[in-house]
Amino acid sequence: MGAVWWLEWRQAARRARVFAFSVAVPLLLVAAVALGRAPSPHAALVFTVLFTFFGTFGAGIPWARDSERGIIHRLLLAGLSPLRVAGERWLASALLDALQLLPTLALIAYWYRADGAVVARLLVGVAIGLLVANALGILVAVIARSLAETALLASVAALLLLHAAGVFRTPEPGTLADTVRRAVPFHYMHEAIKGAVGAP
Amino acid sequence: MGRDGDAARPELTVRARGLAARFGPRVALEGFDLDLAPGDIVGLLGPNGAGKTTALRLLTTGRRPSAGELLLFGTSARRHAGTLRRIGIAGDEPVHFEALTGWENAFGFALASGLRRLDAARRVESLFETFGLADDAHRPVSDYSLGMRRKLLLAEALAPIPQLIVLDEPTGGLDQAARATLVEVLRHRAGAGAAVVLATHDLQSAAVLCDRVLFLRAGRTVSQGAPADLIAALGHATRFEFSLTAERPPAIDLRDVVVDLVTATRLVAHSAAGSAVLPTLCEAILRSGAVITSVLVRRPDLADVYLKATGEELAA
Repeated sequence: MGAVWWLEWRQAARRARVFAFSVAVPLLLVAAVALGRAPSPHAALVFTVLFTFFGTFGAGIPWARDSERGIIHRLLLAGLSPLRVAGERWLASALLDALQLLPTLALIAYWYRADGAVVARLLVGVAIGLLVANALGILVAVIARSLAETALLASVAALLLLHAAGVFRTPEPGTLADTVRRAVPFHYMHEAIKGAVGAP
Repeated sequence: MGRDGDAARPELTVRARGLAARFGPRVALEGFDLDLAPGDIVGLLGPNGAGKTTALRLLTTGRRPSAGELLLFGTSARRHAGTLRRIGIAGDEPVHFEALTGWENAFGFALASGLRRLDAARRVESLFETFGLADDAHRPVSDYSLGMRRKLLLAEALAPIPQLIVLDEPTGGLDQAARATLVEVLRHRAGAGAAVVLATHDLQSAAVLCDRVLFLRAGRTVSQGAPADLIAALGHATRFEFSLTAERPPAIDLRDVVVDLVTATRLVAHSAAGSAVLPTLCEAILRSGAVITSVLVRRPDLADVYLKATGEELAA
């Protein structure tokens, strides 16, 4: 890994407070849903939306902010290709998200008494979801022209994809919507979360 | 800038012919020519909006020219990582990762420019010593002053030992000692074969540092040459700058005095007769009903070159 990867990790190390907030906020939200004994399908839906937004905003907003400030431009002028800047940031950001969500995932596994195989599926499903959510966040930030536009576009794009993934309703088997849902990676994260919380 | 004997010169680092940049109907740069060989130090001078930054953006492939031809390192310029890694760029905004220390920023950008870790660390350390940043290297950039940020930006631009150094307002926010250091460093780099082009409002540093200067106004080159030659071409007339309070521009008609610029608040003139004409000139101004609030008597400089070329003052 190169310069951007190194810079992202150094920043994460320097921003201990931000890191702590990023660990605590999803943990508290999940704890509230779990302790409130929400029905498992509803809990799974909330967790999927939370993790998706966590990844999308976590990658999109910093990119938009750095882009507005001219940092991305400086990295490009230093001789890095746009693909390399985006690629290294994507991987670093997704891995950071995964680290920050680990306590939350541990709480889900513990609270819903998930067994080893289910936990493994949960980890893989959430990892896929975070990779896609981070890619979506960066893509949206590249297209958008401001922080506000990034936040708006990220929300709309993530919700549309979650809808297409069948998170909000289950399409009839064999229909086009059912085929589309299997093509959207968030579907697999949602299925893994459903499995972990015991939702049908 | 046409030069005789191009064939005998080493490969030009920059060759620009008729470069233009248009933003819709607005012309930011027109007919811009520049030859820059290894070792050259060229300054772009002019007021805000003259086209200096636009010219630098074209030279660093940050923007595609609307017209004209640009060769960088002998090949047609295009935005390419390989080309950009041969250019050290310090823009006019010292933008950094605020949460990181100065050293981490410089090291990160050095890695981005393709340096290996050991080389990056060594060069960053050396430049921090040169620019007096060593004691603050491990403080977050958010604690840095504007001058320190500017020094950091310069260290980042120079760390990869680029063949082309492009600096936009490099002396902004720097104290006299830091300016002198920068002049020394750039001369040293030029001596080692780097080509330097800088845009600046700092006429004093430009006069000391640059082999050639180009004056830009409204996107066009209005005058160019070696600073000493341009100033010498003005003659050795003494310059007078008056600040005035008057209802209307005073009408001055004295045999030994040439008025370059006159408004109700300012009068700039020169005379081959030296400061001996000062009492007569003051008397003529006072007779016209104006009140003199200050007067400066000085030798001609690059600001006078611009004034002569355009009839406008470069810096009040």
